[in-house]
Amino acid sequence: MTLTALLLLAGGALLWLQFGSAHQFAGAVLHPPQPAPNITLTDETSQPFALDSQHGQWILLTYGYTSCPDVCPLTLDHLRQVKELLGAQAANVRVVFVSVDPKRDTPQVLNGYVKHFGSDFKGLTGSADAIAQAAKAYDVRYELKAKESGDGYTVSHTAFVYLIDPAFQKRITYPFGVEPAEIASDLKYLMTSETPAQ
Amino acid sequence: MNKLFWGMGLLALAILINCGGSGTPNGIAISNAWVRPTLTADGTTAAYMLIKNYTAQDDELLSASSNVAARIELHETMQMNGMLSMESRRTLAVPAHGQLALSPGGAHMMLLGVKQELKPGDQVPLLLYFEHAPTIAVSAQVMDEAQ
Repeated sequence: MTLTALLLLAGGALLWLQFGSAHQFAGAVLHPPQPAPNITLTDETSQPFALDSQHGQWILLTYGYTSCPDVCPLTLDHLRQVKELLGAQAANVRVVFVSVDPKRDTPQVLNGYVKHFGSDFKGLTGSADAIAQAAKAYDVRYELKAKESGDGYTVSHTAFVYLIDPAFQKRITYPFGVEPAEIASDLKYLMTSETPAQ
Repeated sequence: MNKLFWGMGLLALAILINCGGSGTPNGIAISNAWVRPTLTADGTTAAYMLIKNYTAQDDELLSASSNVAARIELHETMQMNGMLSMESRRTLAVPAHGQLALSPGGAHMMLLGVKQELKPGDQVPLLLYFEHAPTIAVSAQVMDEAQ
């Protein structure tokens, strides 16, 4: 009787260790991780920038546009907070913002915009074709919409945040609005539980 | 002497009534008004606030104006199949004994053609126009996120 009880207890403890303390991720996790598509665009300093140049860093990639008054500042402010929450570990995290409005988002415009959220945030733009390819690589959909007032346009777009690891693999896709604390928690977990890429 | 005494008493009562004391607010009340900084030369940004309707009558926010912006539009961020878009709204409902929350990711005011750079710490004067309630003047603080 005592042995059975002990075995049950031990079994329960092992199950708890396996599943009970498992980290709950705040986004859609890719099982197994997939190689991240490389995209090459023009950055906010008007220089060519290839995403895989950040191999070795954790990358938080998102798409939007600078004339977006609500969604994009919220996403970028959240990513700013993620870095703040990571403290010293933030040095290994790079935020990359790709414009889906290259007509208005020149490198200079992007520079003023992304640097407000982080001095090391990258803003990428390019030709309409280059942006279309970069969007397709990450299944980003976007559509220009003429404003009802007839003056200008807005851009409807998907607003996911893609987490790419130091081995340049896609790991997690976060939907719009995930709290910074949750993303930071996921990153801390991955950073401490995984060996750095060689 | 009696008249003076009564006069002062009435004055004191009138002052007390007008100060409102700790009584229930009435009409429309605006709180936590804030505006995002302008980050681009085209001067587009968003304003947010909480609008509470303490009356028994449904009301509508019709429009807003500010001397810092060429124009203010009402919008609502909507999500469909993962796509986020801003839908223009002619008016926004402020239900009786209810509220209208203008907040990030939801309904908001879009400020267009902002002529000066708005930096955190600046104040933006706004005028809010309602269907029933009188026009309300609000001072919104420029900041990066809601406090």
